[in-house]
Amino acid sequence: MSLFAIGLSHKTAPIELREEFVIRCGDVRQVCERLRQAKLSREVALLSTCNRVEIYAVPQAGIKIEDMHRLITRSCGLTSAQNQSKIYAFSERNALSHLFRVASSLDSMILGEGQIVSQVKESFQKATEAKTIGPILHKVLERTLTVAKRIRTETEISKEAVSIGRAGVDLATQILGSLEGRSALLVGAGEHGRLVAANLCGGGLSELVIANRTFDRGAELAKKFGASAIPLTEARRYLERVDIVLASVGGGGRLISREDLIAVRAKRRYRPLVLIDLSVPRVIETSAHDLDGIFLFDIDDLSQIIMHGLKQRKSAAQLAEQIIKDETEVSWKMIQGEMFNADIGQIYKQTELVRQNELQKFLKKMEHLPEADRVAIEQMTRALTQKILHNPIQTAKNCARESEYEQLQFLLDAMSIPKSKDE
Amino acid sequence: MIQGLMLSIVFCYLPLVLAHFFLKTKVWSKPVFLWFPIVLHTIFLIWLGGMQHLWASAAFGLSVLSAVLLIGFQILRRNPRMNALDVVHLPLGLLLMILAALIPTQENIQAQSWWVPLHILLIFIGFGCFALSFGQSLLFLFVRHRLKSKQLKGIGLFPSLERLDRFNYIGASLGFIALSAGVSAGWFWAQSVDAWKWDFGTIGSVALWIWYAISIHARLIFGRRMLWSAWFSVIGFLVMLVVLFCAYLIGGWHTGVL
Repeated sequence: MSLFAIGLSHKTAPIELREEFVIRCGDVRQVCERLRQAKLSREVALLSTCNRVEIYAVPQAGIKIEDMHRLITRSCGLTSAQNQSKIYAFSERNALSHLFRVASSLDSMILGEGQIVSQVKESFQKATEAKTIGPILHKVLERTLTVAKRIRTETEISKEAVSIGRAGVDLATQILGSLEGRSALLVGAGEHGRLVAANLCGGGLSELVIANRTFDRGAELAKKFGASAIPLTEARRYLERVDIVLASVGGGGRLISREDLIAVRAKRRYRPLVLIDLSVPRVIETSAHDLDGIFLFDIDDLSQIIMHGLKQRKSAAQLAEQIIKDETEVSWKMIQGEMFNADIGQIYKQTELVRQNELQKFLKKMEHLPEADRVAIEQMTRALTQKILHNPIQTAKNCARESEYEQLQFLLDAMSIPKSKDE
Repeated sequence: MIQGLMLSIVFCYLPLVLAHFFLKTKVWSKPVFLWFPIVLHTIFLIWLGGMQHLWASAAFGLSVLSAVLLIGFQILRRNPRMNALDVVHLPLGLLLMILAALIPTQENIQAQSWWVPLHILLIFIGFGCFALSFGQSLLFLFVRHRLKSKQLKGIGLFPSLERLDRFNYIGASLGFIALSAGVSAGWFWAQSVDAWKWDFGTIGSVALWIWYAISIHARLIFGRRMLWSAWFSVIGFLVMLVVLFCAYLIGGWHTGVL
C-alpha cells in the first residue's frame, strides 16, 4: 500500500488551468467515485485552495502512480502533453513530505501565511463527511497537523510581518502595546491606508474614524469598516483623541504640521501618538518625529520591516525544511504501520470470506446433516481458520511494531489469498 | 563564614547567568532554574538578618537589593518579550551580589527595636524596586532610540514601549511606597530613642524620596510619562548607587547611630 499526491499549484500552472482543473475535478465525492470505479484507490482527500488543487489518495494494491495520473488528467480533460506536464505527482514519503510542506506554508505564495493549515483541516473534514477517507489518511492528517504546529512554534516562519497591513500593526503595537481600547484616524482612502486600517481593526482596534476629501466616499468606506466618517477639515481636531493616525492621501499638501502636534501634546497628557504616513508625497511634517511621544513612520519604514520579515522567513524556511525531512521519516514509519494494520485486517476479511464460501458449498452438498452438526461444523471451520492464522498474524503484528517492514511485506505477500470469481 | 556563604550564593547564580547568555541551547535559561538560587538566597537572607542580626551591614542591604531585583525579573519575564530585560537585570543582580560578598560584614547589632530591621528591610526593598525600574527604563530608552532612528529590523523582539513604561511606573511606585514606609519606620524608631539627626543616610534617603515623588506626581498630575519617567528612573537609580557608595566610604549609612 502507498500514498499518492497528484495536483497542480500556483508554481506549476496559471490560474486558468487551475480553474479548469477544479471545475472538471468536481468535489471530493466525485473524485473518489471516479477513482473507485477505476479500482484505483481506497481512500481519497481533495485539497482545493485558491493556489492549489491536490488529490491525496491511498491506492489499491499494485496500482502505480502513473495509472492514477493518467486517469486524473484524462477525466479532467487535460489531455495535451503541455498541460499534463503541469500536473505533479508524488508517491510514498515524497507525497507525505509534500503535504507537510504545503501545510507548513513552505509551498505557499506568501511564505509563512497562516490560512493553509485550516484549509488542509477543512479539506480532510469534508472528506471525512463524504466518507472517502479511512484510517490511513486520518493518520496522515494527524501527522500533518503536528508537523505544521511544530514548525510554527519552533521556527519564526510566520513571526515577522511581510505585508504593509501587518507591518503597520506591528509598528503601532510596538509603541502602544495592545490595540484594545485604542482609536485610530484614517486620513484619505488610499489603498495602503485601507490595508493598514483593515489589519488594525482585525487586531482589536476599538474605534476607527475616517476623514476623506470626498465625504461620501469616506462614509462608504466607514460603513465597510464599521467606523465613523468625518470631513477632512475636521481631522486635526481628532489628533487630541486618537492613538494612531494613518494618512493615505493623494495630491500632496501639508495636512498635519509639527505645530499641530506640539499643540496637542499637553492636551493628550503626553500619551504616545503613532503616525503612519503612507502618502506620496507625504502629508505629515517629517520633523514631527523628533517630538517626544510622537512616532512618525512612512512607506519606506514599513518596507524596511517587510524586507526584514521576508529575510527572516526565508531563513526560518531552511530550518523548517530540516524539520520536515526528519518528521517525514518518523511519520512515514507510523503511516506504514497503519497501512500494514489495514492489510492484516484485510487478510482476516479475505480468509473469512473464503471460509464462508467453502462452508456454504460443503453444506449445500450435505443437506441431510442435522442442524446441530451444521453448527458444529461451522464452529470447527471458524476455529480452524483462527488457529491457522494466529501465528502468522502475530508475527506480522510484531514486525509492524518493530518497524521491520520488508519482512512484514514478505509475510503479507505469502499470506495473501487470491480473490475468487465471486468477489 | 558569612562571606563564604555569600560567595556560595554567587556561585549558584553564576553558571546559570553564564549559561543564559553564552550557551546555544536555551534549556538552562528557563525561568524555573533561576528560582533555585533565588530560594537559597532568600533563606540565607532570613538567616543572616533573623539569626545573625546582620541587617545593618552593607552586605545584607546589597544582598536584599539583588534578591528583589532578581525576583522582580522572574516575575516580569512572564510577560511577552520581557525576557529582553535579562541584559540589564541579570548582570546587575549578579554584580550587586558579588559586591555584597566582597564587602567585609560588620559586627552584628542586637535589635534595640523591631523598627530598625523593618526600616532597613523596607528601604532596601524600595531600592530593589528602583533597580527594576532602572532596568526597564534602560531598555525603554534603547527601544525608543531604535524607533526614533528608524532602525526597525527585528524591533519586534523587544517589549512594547507602553509595557516598559507601565512596568517602570509600577516599579517606581512600589519602590516609593517601600521607601516611604522605610523612612517612616526609621523616623518612629529615632523619635522613640531620641536619635533623629540629619546625617548622610537621612539626607540621601529623603533626596531620593523627593526625586521619585516628583516623577510619580508629574505623571499623575500632568501625564508626563515615557521618556520623562524613564530618565527619572535612570538618574534616580544612579544617584542611589552613588549615595550607597559614599555611605560605604564614610563608614556607614547613619554613622554613630547604628
